[in-house]
Amino acid sequence: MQQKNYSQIVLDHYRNPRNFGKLKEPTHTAEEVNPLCGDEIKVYLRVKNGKNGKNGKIEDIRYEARGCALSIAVASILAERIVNRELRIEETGKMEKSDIEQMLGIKISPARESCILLSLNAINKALSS
Amino acid sequence: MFNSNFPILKRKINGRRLVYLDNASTTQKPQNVILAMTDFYEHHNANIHRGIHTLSQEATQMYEGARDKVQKFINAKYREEIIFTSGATEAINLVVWTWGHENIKRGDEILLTEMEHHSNLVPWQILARKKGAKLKFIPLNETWNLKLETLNKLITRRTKMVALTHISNVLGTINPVEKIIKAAHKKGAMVLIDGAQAGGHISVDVQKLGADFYVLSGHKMYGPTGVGVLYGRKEILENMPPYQSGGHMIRSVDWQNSTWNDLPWKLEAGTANIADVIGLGAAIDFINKVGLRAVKNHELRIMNYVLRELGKISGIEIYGPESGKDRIGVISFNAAGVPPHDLASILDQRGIAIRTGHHCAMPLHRKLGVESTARASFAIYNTKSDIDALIKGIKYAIQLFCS
Ligand SMILES: Cc1ncc(COP(=O)(O)O)c(C=O)c1O
Repeated sequence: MQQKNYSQIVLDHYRNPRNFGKLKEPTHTAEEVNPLCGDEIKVYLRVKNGKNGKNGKIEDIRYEARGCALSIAVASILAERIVNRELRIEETGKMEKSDIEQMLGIKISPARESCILLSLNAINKALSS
Repeated sequence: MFNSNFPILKRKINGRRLVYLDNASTTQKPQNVILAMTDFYEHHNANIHRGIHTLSQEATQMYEGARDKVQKFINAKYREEIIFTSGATEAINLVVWTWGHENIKRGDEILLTEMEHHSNLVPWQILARKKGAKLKFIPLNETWNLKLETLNKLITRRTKMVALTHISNVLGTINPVEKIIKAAHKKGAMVLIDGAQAGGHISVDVQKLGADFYVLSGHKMYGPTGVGVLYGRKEILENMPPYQSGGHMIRSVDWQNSTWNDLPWKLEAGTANIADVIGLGAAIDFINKVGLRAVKNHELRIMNYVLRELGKISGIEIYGPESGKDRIGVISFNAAGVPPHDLASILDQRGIAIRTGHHCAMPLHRKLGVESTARASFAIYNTKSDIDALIKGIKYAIQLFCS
């Protein structure tokens, strides 16, 4: 049976999350929790230029997370894109549910929206801290 | 059993037959409950009490008739001991903000258990903070039953209230409330039993139990949402101040002062939730028709079956008593390698509804050592083939995630 919610991309990133861990000397960090299910993430960013994150470049990212497959997979994919310079600071602030759905290759039900937005919110919170 | 009485069970979810296993959250509604409420609105709708016209008399009879049904259902001595509320949560809050406010003093103790739903914990926390009282908790043992041997130490002369759930909404544990009530009364403490998970699953006799307060949730026992029951012993309710005030609950009103109506209306301010109360009455008719003994036997069979089948899957951790006899209604578990939320999504794709999360019992989950669990919970319409679908879905999820 086709599992609409669980593409190979999701399962792959959940089983082998990329860039997982701590970052030495981060310039920005933030934590987010999803009180509904207890998912947690802490992101570490190293940003060059501009203390408030504006006009800066994300040089590196790591994260520590605990949670469901969707929240871990999104964190992993975002981190990978940031490290590969495929995702810039200006873009993370504008990302929406539909962008993440596109990355995952699946549609997300409203009940799971908070799962896929957790890491994005943490990154944006870190950048504006 | 009785599946044809539940119209919603004909629904397809994601192209599959609906397998509804979220009954501890809310049960589905039988046809006679739905019909009773539409019948009220189509043929009898009017405000109750003091109306001279025909419709008002009919509505009053139907509403008060539901009270009689609840009285019989839990074997209360007097009909005026039955107070309608918006749910179990409001029933507990009513006790906290009337009886509790009057009777809990600085230094008093309120005894709860480690398995309480937030609705039988948070109101007491707020009261205790306000009054300078202390909350204590009956701990759990390794088989997820209450450690009864701690009771003698925990209930002291300072204990004014013992409030506990009849059946745990996470563990399914059936608590020996009769014993606990006896122990509490020996030391002069009051007892409130949260029967939200017991109503419609096991028979409840408030006189035999000796409970001072007993709480029911209508929507968890085949009734509509928005209605619950507070049972209180008459002499206690008589001495309680009003909860909310305004219309209906008064006898006479002056510019400066008012006097209160008799029980039960003293504690039911404003226009009642008439249609839903009538719906709850119909839900009790349905339960009586099935028979609580049949319900209990059916649920025990389902519980034993699910325990056995889940137990066969490696990597499944089950929370709650091991024996089907010590538990009823709910089973919480985790499948190693499959986060509960993902399991719920995968099952939903197959038309199977379960719940995941902390089930409004965060402190208990900390005790379990997990953030969240998956919970399947049962009602009269669940069948062995529902359980087979659940087990198959869980195996599929494990294979998807762990291969
Ligand atoms: C044990 C327990 N107590 C209280 C409640 C709250 O019931 P209600 O929804 O009627 O307020 C619930 C329901 O989730 C419950 O399981």
